[in-house]
Amino acid sequence: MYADPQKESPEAKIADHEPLLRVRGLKKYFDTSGGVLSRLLHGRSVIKAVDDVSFDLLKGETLALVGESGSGKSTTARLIARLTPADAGEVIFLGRDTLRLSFNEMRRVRKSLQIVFQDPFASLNPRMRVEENIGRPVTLHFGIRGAARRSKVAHLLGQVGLSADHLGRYPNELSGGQRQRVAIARALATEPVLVLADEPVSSLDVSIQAQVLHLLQDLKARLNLSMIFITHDLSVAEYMADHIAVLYGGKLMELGPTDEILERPRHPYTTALLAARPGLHRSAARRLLEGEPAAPINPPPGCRFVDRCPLRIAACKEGDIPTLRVTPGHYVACIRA
Amino acid sequence: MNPLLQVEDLTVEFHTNANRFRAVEGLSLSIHPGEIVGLVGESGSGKTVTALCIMRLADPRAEIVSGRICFREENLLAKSEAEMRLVRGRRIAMIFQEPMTALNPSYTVGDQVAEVYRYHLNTRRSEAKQRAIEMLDRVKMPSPRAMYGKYAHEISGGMRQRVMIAAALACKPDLLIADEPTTALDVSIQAQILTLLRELQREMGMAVLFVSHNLEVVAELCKRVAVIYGGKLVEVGDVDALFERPAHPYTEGLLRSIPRRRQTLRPIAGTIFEPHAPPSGCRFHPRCPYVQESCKEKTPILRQVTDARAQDNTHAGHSVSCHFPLIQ
Repeated sequence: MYADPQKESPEAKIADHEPLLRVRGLKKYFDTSGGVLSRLLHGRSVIKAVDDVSFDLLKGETLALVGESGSGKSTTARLIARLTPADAGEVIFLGRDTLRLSFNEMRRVRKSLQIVFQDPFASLNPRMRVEENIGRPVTLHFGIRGAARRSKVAHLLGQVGLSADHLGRYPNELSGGQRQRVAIARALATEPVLVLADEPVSSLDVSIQAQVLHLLQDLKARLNLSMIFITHDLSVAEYMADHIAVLYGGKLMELGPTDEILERPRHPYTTALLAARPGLHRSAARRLLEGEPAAPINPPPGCRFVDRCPLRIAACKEGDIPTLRVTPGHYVACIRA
Repeated sequence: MNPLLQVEDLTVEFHTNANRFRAVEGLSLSIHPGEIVGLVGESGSGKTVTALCIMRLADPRAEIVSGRICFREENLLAKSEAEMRLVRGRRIAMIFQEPMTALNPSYTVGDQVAEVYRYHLNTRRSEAKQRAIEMLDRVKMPSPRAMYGKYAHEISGGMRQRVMIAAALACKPDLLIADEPTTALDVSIQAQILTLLRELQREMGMAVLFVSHNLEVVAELCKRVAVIYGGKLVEVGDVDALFERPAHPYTEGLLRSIPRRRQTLRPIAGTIFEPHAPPSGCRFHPRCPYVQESCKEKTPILRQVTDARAQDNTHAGHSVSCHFPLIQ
């Protein structure tokens, strides 16, 4: 139908298992001080939503960003896609720093980088039929219209397990699972190399969640996609990801191959998250984390996790926590690890 | 021992402008004193409707066509609204998925716990406040005296759910209905709330009907579990037996839908039927991997599983509604 993107696009130069995406020192601080008066009364209040996050994503692999509310996992994805401007850092994608591209250049990069959001009710345009929802990026990026576009959209629907029957439907006529499939088809419409999936199954029923996870794994293998998969559910991360990055309070706590993270977690937070998972064959009393995850507002120096950490010592509150290399590819930011 | 709660052949119909459909059909379920029973189903399976019918809080458009809901051998469905108020919140209490909408935003959370004492036990204002603070302490709210004066929007989701639990358990009910109480919470908070519920259940000895779509949470908390699909009970039994060797293909499919490392997911095909057009015969047949011709015609009835391979009576009370169960 149109030229094989592998032949001419820059992603062709990147071999499998080479870094496709390189994130370095990514930062986003939100000032929530409010007006002049509240600033005078209460001082500045800054949420360090993403604070010095670095990782690599290899071509053809999936990295799961795992964390609870306020960990900065969704913000990280939005910074990578430049839906939110970053304060500092580098995002090297296909050999270029996307944070420094012009608007028009970024538009071309977005063709290779697509997002699937958590809530398909909110991310699809309710006033457009499925054909238009998926077809719009096809027209925008490839200039394809009319019958050619319709057959392209029908093909995309087939890839996500729907059929041409759904072309004329409106999003409100679809179930949650079908809507998420349409959102995935729309992401695939531009033939991306990288898909950012932000909690794509969190709002779905168990059986539908399994269908969508299965579909994503299948598409990833067939289309040789790389994926950043954001989730709060370690079981989902375990199923989907080659590498897992655990975030807490805007900081990367631990990063490593999925097996290592699951079998030899080094960070007390990772250990606690693993222990908090409900299980079919669990009886032993688990060690519960105290307190609750909180947005990092004016965080003091030291480890962000310190107030909930069972292993904390005085030194945890002093200065920056260095990131240790446990094994090649396995990093932990903890002085007690 | 007589069951504390016995739901018998409950059928609930919804009437909308154009349609009428059955949200629950012929559902029977019993809960003994001090027992934790899980009610598992997906969206639209009728699990919340069932829970609300027990509380007599179902939507006015929902009509209970047939059945009895006996609580301590009295039919709740025959009670007047005034009689029901003596049961609701006092003998049977309920907590919900979204504590933000269940709590009143314009009263402090403490007053909403104290109200339970004032309403049900005619406690004086000052004493009610004192007891509410004790209850907030019991659900492990940090600095309960300060928390008493907070509004719902000022506290976290986990804390709100603790307030809900405090209000629900204030009168030491015989039965707590928990409708997806941890679904909206972070993993570490979910673990805290589940542990809290189990501790309080042991201390107070109440029975719990735990409604959830999450099999792993149910497995952790419950002793017995009932699985519903499309408004009908498909399988009920001891948690360990049922999850170890499910008899119904739907239960098996749900278990296989739990993501696990290095295992291919084998999700259930298709989606749940449209409520106004339930399939003929077994309602699960369009999605069932083991479907036979007769499944499309004959409606299965619930019957006892007698597993020949089980040495002990692990399958006591294990029943399934399937023509071709995975274990006999």
